[in-house]
Amino acid sequence: SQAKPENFSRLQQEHARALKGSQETIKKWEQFKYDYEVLQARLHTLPDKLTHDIMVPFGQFGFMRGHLYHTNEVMVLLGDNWFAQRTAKQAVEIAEHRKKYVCEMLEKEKKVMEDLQARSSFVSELSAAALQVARDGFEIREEYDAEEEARRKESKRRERERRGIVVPPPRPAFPRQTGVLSKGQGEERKREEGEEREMKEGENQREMELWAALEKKEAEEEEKREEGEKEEEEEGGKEEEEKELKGRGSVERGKTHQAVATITFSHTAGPDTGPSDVSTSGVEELVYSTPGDIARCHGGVAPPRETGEGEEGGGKRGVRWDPNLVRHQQEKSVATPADVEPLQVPISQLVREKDSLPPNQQVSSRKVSKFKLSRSSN
Amino acid sequence: MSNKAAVQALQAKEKVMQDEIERFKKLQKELQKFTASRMQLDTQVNENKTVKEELDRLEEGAVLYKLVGPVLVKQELSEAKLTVEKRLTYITKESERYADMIKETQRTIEQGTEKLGRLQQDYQQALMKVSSAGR
Repeated sequence: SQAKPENFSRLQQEHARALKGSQETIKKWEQFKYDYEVLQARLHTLPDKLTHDIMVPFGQFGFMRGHLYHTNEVMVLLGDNWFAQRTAKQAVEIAEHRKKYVCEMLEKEKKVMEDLQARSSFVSELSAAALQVARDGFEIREEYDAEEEARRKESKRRERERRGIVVPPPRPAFPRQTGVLSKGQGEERKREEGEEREMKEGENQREMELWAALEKKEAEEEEKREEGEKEEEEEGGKEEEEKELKGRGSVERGKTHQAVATITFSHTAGPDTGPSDVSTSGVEELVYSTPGDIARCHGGVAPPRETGEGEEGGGKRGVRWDPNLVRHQQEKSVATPADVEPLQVPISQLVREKDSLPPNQQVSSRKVSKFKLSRSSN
Repeated sequence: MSNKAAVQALQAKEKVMQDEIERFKKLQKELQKFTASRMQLDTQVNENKTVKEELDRLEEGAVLYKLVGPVLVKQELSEAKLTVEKRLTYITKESERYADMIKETQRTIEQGTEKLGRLQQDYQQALMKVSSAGR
């Protein structure tokens, strides 16, 4: 656009010049007016005396004493070398006429100047605005109305559901270290490119909710493990999250994590203790005493490489997410966190590679919620 | 075209252009003169109008003088009025005449500009021919 600050300076220059010219003309007319007023005053006092004693200007520099006679007779120049002899009073009238003419011209000129001033002030305002735009950009304000926003969000959500679009929250940078897959996660991967555009602010809130749900799951798992290992619990706000989880609508993102086959090894070797029961929340927790237990549970599969380690490291230590696994779970729909079912995937498919660990995830002995970790690494 | 012929053509064109430029300058000067005299006439018209108004305001038997050189000549009101009216019409006519002349001159100047432009183009072409022929 042409409204740049530099373009204005030239225009403002011209305006200034015109304004100055106009002011000078006004001054000239005002001077004339003043002169006529003085003249009238003089003509008024002139016939008061028959003769006046005056100092007559003589040549260029001198004065001489003299007298002024015929004080009532005034020779008036009418213009174009025409003179008229008039009385003082008549001369005053003539002067009055001329003064009236001068006043008219003065008024005209003043109007012109006002017009110029208005124009120049408009230009200066415009230039100030343009300068601000160039500096700060054009501020576009939209008023925030909480109700309006809530309504809009709701309608968007409904729209999305109607269209059957699953919009997952933003994934962490690295593939999930858990072998858990449920429908939501798989679909999430698939539609990611298409859906990224459709993430709106509601997404963040949704994501928080999901994280909360996942963490709750995690916390529950950990609780169960506490007897065995006595590690610290993480979630302080578990109760809050539970409350949040209640009354959720459909949760798009799968309750990942569910069925991690969390393999824990206890050091107390005993007779075939076997895996413990599946917890009520649907998470399968397995406590193995010996590697033999694993093999038994999972049907003659080669024991995992990291058998000697405790911890639920299974999930953390480089379990590579395998897209093929997703397809097993696609038909199941996840309505609530409780609906998520354990993953029925043999362990051999959970490829464990020590080196597939992303650089930012540290293997620490302290048990940290997998979600917290991956979330913080986002 | 041989070099010599090209050079001659160039020179001829140059001369023509110079003549045209001269004429153009003369025209412009005339225009300036006309505009100046027209402005002067305009002022005189205004002045005479004022005088006429004043004369109309004067009552009968007022003493009137006209400055002719260093002499103030006594005039009569009626005579003065007549003179001023005549003068006014004359000046208005003159002013109109000048206005027409100015318009005329302006038109001629426009034509002259066009012609000059064409001549300049010809000159440029001839110049190029000369430079190319010389190579």
